[in-house]
Amino acid sequence: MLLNGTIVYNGYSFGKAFILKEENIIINKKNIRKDQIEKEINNFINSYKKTLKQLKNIKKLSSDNKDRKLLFDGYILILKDKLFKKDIIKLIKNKLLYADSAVNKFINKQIKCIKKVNNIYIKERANDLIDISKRLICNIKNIKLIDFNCLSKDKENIIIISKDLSPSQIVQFDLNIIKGFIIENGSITSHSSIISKSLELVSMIKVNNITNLVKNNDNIVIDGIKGNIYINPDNKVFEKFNKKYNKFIIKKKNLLKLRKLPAITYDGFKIKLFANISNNKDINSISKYGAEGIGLYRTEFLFMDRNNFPSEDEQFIFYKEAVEYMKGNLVTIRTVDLGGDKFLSYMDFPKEDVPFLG
Amino acid sequence: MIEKKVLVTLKNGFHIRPATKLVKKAKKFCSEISIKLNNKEVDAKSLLQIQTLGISKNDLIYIKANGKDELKAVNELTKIINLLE
Repeated sequence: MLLNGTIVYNGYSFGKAFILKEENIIINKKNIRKDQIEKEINNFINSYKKTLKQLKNIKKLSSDNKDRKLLFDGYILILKDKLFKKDIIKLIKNKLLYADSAVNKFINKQIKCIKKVNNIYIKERANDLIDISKRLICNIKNIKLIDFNCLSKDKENIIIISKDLSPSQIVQFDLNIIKGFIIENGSITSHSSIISKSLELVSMIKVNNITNLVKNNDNIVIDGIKGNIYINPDNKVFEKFNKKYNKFIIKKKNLLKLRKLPAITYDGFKIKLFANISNNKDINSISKYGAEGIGLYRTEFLFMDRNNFPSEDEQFIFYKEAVEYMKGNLVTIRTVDLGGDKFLSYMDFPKEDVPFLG
Repeated sequence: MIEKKVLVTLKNGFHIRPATKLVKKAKKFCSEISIKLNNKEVDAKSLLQIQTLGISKNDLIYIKANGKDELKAVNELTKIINLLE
C-alpha cells in the first residue's frame, strides 16, 4: 500500500509500525457533592505533583539542547504559575467540578485569551497549554501515558504512527530505536515539527487515516524525499530504498565536508550557491550548510495549514524577517504558486486540463 | 515604585521561550513586578498572564516594580528584554 503526506524532515527511514492509540479522554462534567470537595482537591494536588515530576524528567532528556530545554522550562513555569493551582482549586471548591473538568475549564479559558492575541507565533503556542493539560488530566484520571522507554527492549527499528504527537512526547523518543514518525494531523510550524527537525528525525504529517490503515508491526518505509509511505512493501521495493538510503547517507556526509569550500568550477568560474526554502524556520540551516543567501523562497506554506488568507501585514512580517536575517545577502521571494498539485481549502480553483503549464 | 519604558525588538514577540527567560529573571526579585501593554497590566512573574498580553515586535511596554529591590529589578529586566532573541 502506498500513502502520501507532508514531509517535515527529509530522508529515508525503515521500521516496524508502532501505533500510539491514546485512550479517549472523557471529561466528567457532572457536579460533585460538597463532601467530595476535599477528595477532588487531593486528587488534583497529587496529579499536579506527578505531572511536575514527569516534566522535570522530560526537561532532563533535553539538557543537550538549549531551545528544547527552555521550552520545557516554560512548561514547568506555567504549571508552577500561582494562578494555575489557585484557580483550579477554586473551580473545584466553588463550582463543584471534578478535578479533570476544573483543569479543562481553566486551560480553555487561557487558550481563549491567547487566541485573541494578534501575533501568530504566540497564538500557535496554545498547543503547549494543551500538551500540559492533557498530561495533567491523564494523571488525574489515571490514564497511563505512553512510556516510550518500554519500547527500547526490542532492538528493532520503530516508526511511530499516531493521530498527533506533542513536543513532550517527541523529546522522549529514544532515537536509537525510533527512526521516524507519521501522524494524521500536525502543522509545519508547530513545536512538534520544529523539534523533529532539530532532532533530524524523518517525519511526515497530514497522512490521512494512517492509524487505521496500519497495524502494529507492519513494515514501513518512509520515502521522506518524495513524500511517500510504503506499508508492507515487497522485497524489491525494500531493497530499492535500502540502496537509496545508503547512497543518501554517504552523499550527505560527503556534501557536509564541502560546505565551507568556495563554489568555483575547474576553469575558475565562481558560482553563487543559494538555499531553496519554504519557511522562516529553514533559515537557521542556511548558514549551517553554507549557502550564501536564499535563491528561492517558496511562499506557499504561509497560505497552507490554515482556513483563510494571510493578511498583507502578516505576509510582510514573514518576508521582512527573512530579509533582515540574511543581512543584505540575496533573498528571492516567489509569490504564491498555487494550482497544479497545491490547493487551498478556502479558495475555489477552476479545474484545468494541464495545470502545470501555469 | 519605579517604572521604565521598553521597546520590544524581539522578532517573534514574547512566545513561550523568551517569556520563560523573562519570568525566571523576574522571580529572582522580591519586589512586585508588572508589565503593562496598552493599559493591560499583568504580573511579570506569571508566564500565563504574560502570554495573554501577546507582546510583539515594536510594542512599547512598561516594566513596573514596587519593593526593596525595585531599581535593580527594573534595570535588569529591561536589560534582559533587550537581549532576548
